[in-house]
Amino acid sequence: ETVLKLATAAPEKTPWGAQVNRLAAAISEESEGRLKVEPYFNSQLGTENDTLAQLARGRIEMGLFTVSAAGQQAPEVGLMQLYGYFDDNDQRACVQDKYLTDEIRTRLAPKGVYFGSWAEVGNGYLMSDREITDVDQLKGLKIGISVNRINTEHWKVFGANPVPLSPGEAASSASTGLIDVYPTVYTFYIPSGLSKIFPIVNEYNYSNGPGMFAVSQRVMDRLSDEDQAAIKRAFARDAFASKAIMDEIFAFEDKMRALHTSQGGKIVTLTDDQVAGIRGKLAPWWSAMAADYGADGEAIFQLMEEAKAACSG
Amino acid sequence: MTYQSVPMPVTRLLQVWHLLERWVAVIAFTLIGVLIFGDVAGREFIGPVGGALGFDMGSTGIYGARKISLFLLVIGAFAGLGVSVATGTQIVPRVAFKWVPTSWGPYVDRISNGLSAAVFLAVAYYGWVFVNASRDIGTVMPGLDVPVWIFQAAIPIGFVSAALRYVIFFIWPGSAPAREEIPE
Amino acid sequence: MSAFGLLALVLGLLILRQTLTVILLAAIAYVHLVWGHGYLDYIVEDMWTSLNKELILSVPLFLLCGAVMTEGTAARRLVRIVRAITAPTRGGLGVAAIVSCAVFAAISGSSIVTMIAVGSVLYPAMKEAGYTNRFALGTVVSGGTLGIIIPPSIPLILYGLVTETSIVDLFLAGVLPGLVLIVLMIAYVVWANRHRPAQKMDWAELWAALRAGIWAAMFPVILLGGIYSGYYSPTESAAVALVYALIIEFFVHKEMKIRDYFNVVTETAKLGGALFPLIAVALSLNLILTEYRVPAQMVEIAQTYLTNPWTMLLVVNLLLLAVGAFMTTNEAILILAPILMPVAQAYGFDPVHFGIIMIVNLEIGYLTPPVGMNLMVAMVTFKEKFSDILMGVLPYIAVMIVGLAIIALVPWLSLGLL
Ligand code: NA
Ligand code: NA
Repeated sequence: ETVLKLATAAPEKTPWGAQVNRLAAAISEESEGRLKVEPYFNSQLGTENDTLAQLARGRIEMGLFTVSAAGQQAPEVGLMQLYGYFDDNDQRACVQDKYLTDEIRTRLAPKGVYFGSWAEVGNGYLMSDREITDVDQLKGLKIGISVNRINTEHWKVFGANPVPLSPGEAASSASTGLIDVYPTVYTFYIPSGLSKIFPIVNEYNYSNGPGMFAVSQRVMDRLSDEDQAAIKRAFARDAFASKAIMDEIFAFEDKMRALHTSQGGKIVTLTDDQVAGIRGKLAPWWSAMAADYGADGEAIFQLMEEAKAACSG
Repeated sequence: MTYQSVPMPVTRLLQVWHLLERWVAVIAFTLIGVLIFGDVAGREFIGPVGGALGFDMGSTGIYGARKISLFLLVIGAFAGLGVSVATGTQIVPRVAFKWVPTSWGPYVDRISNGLSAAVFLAVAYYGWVFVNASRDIGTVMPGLDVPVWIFQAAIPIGFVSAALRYVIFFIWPGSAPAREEIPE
Repeated sequence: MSAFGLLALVLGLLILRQTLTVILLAAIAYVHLVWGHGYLDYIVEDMWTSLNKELILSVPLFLLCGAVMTEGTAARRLVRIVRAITAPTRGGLGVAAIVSCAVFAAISGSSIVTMIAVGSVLYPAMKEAGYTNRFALGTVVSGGTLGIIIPPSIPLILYGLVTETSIVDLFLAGVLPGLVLIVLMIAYVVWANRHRPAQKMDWAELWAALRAGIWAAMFPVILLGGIYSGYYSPTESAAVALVYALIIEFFVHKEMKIRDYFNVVTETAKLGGALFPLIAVALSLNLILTEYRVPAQMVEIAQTYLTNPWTMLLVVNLLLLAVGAFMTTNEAILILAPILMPVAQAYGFDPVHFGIIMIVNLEIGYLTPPVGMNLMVAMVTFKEKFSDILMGVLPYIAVMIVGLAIIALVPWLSLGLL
């Protein structure tokens, strides 16, 4: 029996925890018990940036990561995270599954990361102490972010000030007023206590975040052919298609949304015009970011543009 | 080789080396203060004031201030390791000092320096292995998109520097500093 | 058998007078070789991971700021104001020492810096005014430990770092427990000096002291006010504190020169050079312990033997007091907090409250032999006998244990302001 340590930031009692456990079961089944996935929940093995680097070097065998973390191994892959880029999540699911899987797998393999399947971070909204429905209201606001180029540049488009924070500091930074807005997902917003300090959710869907299940390429290469095939069969199961994974996370978001309202929180729904007003500022920034990553960036952006067109309507 | 005499060139070398590491540390720690303060001042003062005066200020913090500061911290810390070894301010637990006869003290100290050198050289070697692996894999520093191995290399370099100093203390015990208690 | 080997290795290295960094490195290598896969490059990887944390940036900045304050005259000016205010109490100078330490603690993140800054002014003054040597020593040496419970605090930052607890919350949580300790210490000073006549308030002196020290007196207000009104984070506050300290020492008090700055930073580099590699190595030990699920096993073991949260708390406190006798605060936090916090949490204690309990325990550890950093540094700084200093701090240790019990049993003191 070979033990594969799997690192994730997610707690076990969440849909991500359920997905991890399901993957563990699938791999055990497909390998007829030769492979045993041992999950470490709640960032026990470290932050996702740290654990992804360890996975690339073969110290940790598997993990569940956001695509923005993958950007530290291959910066151009981070472009998948371009905020506001997709018209809706169905379009994104189509682009991911039909056009991007092979491309991303090819780009990550030489960086030590075997891309297993897509995962889902969820829909990100603007959590704040105030209503935000148009671009001008964002101007000059202090926005809490985790540092990377795309995060920083994105908020600058609106004339806002990105303030780098670790997620652990989000709630206290909100309470002192160090930040005015913390863009995040419901599944962080409510358990972290941030919802008590920033009670207003402005449902401008700034980010719909893909994630990935990954295996260390070095570990993969050391496994027997049968075991490698078993892992690939597990990932190829219908339960790990983008749409299925997404729906599960979104259903959980709906529960959290209801919980937030029942606790006296407020949800602001933006009209299509209001959304378009904010998103409309972003197109030049998408190309600028792609150009920033050189030929690799341009290539992947080109592919995304074509896929998006093919997946529309 | 007489026990206490330290050749003049070695003394000179140690002095210059020490001064160099001190300067590196002074510059690194000072820049950390400048960067972090500049980031805060830009965000909380220059931005709002400029905005109030009607300028279109956009984002006024210093991009990547903390990541660059972290790099400087690693450099400063490992230059500091050299300074600390040179001045005898590393923390040494003293529980077992009385377990060996006092007259053996100088010999134990000499062996001690040799052993510390060996351990630090080993760390430097494995550090080099790690930095190399990191370079092969191509990990970049999030936010700066600079290969992270450049930052990481400060660790083995710092250990080599400290190890070489222990080697010199081992060969010429007279060049070793007296131990000092350090406040924290 | 292999655990025995580890013990032998550590004892051997102790006899060979190795530094704590070398001993920890060797112990970790042993763990990797005997229980792990034997890849020693993981040690350096973990050292990098440990240092690659932005929160850690505040540590060199607070060290530097403390060094600037020690070199400059801000501390002397603060003490003068406090002396003028506390003159009408019995044992006025002793009360002034405790209050000065408390005020200075609101600027400094360390126990030693607080003790040296206040003690170098008030210890000679107390002796001159006829206080016994032991009482004078005990008061400044013990008062100095307030430096780590009243925010800002380097040990609290380290606790937040290794347990992923909010530093803003930890800083706020330290305020009331800090006040409890101050009140207890002042009560002891007044009681010990109950036969000593109080002085009259000298309004002219207070006014003069305020005029000379207003910039220094503003320091805690700017530092903590800025954090809690959202101008900067605790990490960033360290840079603001440093810049403020440099501005007042260079341009307002005009008693510091560029040359002094170079020396001050070199001193900080020495401290940093001893501390950061150690932090990195100690944290890398934490990482392998987690990899082998040691904290989880500790929780299980604890729950088998200690069924009641209060027995757990008692055992943990006794353990920490014992550890505090032998280890310095920073190392104790780095090594033990990640193991003990999950245990405390499993018994229903809030991580922030537990952090404060740990800090108060280790604060006492600064005063307990054989390894009591305040005792050792006081010996060098004040040129006094170890036994005199120890006798002087004994009553304060008793006072602080009472404070610890109150702080541990009343979670509201730590959590009420959050
Ligand atoms: Na303090
Ligand atoms: Na002690």
